[in-house]
Amino acid sequence: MDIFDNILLGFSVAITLKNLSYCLLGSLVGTLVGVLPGLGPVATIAMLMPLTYGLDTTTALIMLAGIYYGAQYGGSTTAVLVNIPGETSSIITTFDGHQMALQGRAAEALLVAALGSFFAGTVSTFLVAGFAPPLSMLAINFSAPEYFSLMVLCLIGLVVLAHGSVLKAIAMVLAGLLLGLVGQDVTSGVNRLTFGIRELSDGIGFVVVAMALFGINEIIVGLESPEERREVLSKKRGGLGKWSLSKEDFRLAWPASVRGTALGAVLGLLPGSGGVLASFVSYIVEKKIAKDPSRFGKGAIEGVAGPESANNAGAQTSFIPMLTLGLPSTPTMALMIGALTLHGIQPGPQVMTTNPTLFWGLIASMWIGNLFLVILNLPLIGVWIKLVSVRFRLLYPAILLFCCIGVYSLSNSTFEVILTSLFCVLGYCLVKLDCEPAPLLLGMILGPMMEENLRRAMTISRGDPGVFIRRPVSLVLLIFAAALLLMLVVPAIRKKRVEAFKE
Amino acid sequence: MIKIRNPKDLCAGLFFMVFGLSAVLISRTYPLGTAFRMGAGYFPILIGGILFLIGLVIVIKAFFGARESLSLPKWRPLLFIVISIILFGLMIKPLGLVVTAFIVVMTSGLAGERFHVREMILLATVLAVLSAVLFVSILGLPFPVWPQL
Repeated sequence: MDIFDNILLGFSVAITLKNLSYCLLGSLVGTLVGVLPGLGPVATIAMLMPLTYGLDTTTALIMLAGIYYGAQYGGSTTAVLVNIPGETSSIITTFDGHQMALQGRAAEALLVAALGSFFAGTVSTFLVAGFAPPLSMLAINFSAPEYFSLMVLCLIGLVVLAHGSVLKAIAMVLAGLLLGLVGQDVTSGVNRLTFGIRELSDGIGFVVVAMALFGINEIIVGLESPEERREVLSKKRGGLGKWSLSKEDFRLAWPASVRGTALGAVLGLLPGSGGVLASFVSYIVEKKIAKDPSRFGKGAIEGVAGPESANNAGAQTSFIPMLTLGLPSTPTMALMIGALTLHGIQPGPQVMTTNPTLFWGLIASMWIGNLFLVILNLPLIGVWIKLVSVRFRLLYPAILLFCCIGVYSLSNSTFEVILTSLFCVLGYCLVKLDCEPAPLLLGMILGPMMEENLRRAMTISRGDPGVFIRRPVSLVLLIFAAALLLMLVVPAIRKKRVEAFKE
Repeated sequence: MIKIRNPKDLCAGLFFMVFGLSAVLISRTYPLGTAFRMGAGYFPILIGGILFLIGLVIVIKAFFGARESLSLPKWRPLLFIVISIILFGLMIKPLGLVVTAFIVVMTSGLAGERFHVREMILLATVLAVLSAVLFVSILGLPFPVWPQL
């Protein structure tokens, strides 16, 4: 089967009334929650996960993917309109997007963001379709040593790309690995680190941790800062502007969008970055090559087109490691893997052959989801503006309640709800101590996988750790990991990293 | 005497040290095995040990690194949000979704700076009805709606 047959198969799965409507519903609800301040894609997906329990796996995943794009997109909308990034990857959009809005060009900014994202989404859907199968074929020959090295690379990439202190990020990953080990050991059946609590023998649910660290924590942090006044822009300044792009705008925007897509597609593959790094690098590139860099920060349309395209391309290609290797590269993908596992599918390279309809249906629905976002969100912009202006004090009890319902519905257990409150306290303290929660969550997902593969690798090699260096693929992966670590040590690059995150 | 320059690092480091050390201590009771045939204790002891060491480095850094101060957190939001979550967990089975949602929303209202009584009662009522309709009637989650007598 070649790529077009596969894509056709995908569309035949995705274009059923049921899947189309759940894709639509997902992107709509995702945008709705994503528009709310402080709730990024991870919190949104964790919160809305219960909506998908009753669905079959393909439909559930299609809906979750829709929620993901929707939440991303909603973040950009608030960035443009009220200067509040809904999530980290749309911070960049506030720079020029909001400036455009202040100049009465909000509609143009939103339009360019939507069209850029759609272009990036289309290109990267084909990239995923094209690259996933060969990568899966390659990965299917991976055995334990390769997987272990790959996870080491993944975790180190995560640490390098994390904000703030590297040491703390490493510590958070390790703490996550340990939390992931809680529960019954698959090999020996011993209950580990459970403190004799029966409910813990199934392990700590990742949704519990994701919800506590990303959803509820945001509420607490939000409550600590005095309520800001969010003025709705359209009343203040002469409206949103025209829903069309001038020739000049278009001439500036499309090359930026193409460059952003290329950058995003590549950077999205890196562990831990997703769209954040991509939108960031794209902005720097656009500023560097612009004829007049001083326009940036004052409403340059390239400053919206580039990062928005990069962000969306990165969000799509971050599916590649998840789909082909079963490895999460971002917290969002960790949740996707969790959703697959909940539906009884072991993520990994075999998914493409054992569940081709799921695999290709998901890919086709990526493109459809992007299309929905463009045709739906622009007309609905008035609704989003209304939502943004809802007061936080009315919003947070609702978010909290939905989080509680979400956690309880995992297994109808009071214990998991209480566990969530514990992780809230833990997460709150860690955030106050400048420890990023994302590495912890990914470590948690990877913990059992890493142990399993380390065990198997050592059994294959009869206890000789040299096996990781003797196998060529494993060696290459470890060299990559070492190179990444080295980057951190070299002072010049280190300085750049600090600057990059400060900007 | 050496001054603590970065209390944030100190607390974080100590936390990681305790976390790592307790993982090691607890895992000592599991069969260790050998590198060839790893027992249940091997990996957690390995990871816990490394975590302990990294925690130690962070603690040491707290005495020499850049100066930073730790601001005391506001206790009110954290306290009431946590209480709301625990209440939800304890009440959902006996009292059903409608009553639980109402009480949880009211309690979480206390986390804010000011408590607007009428506004919160209205919000709690709306959310209680909405969540029962959305999650139980439409999505079919197996929650009790009313108190179980």
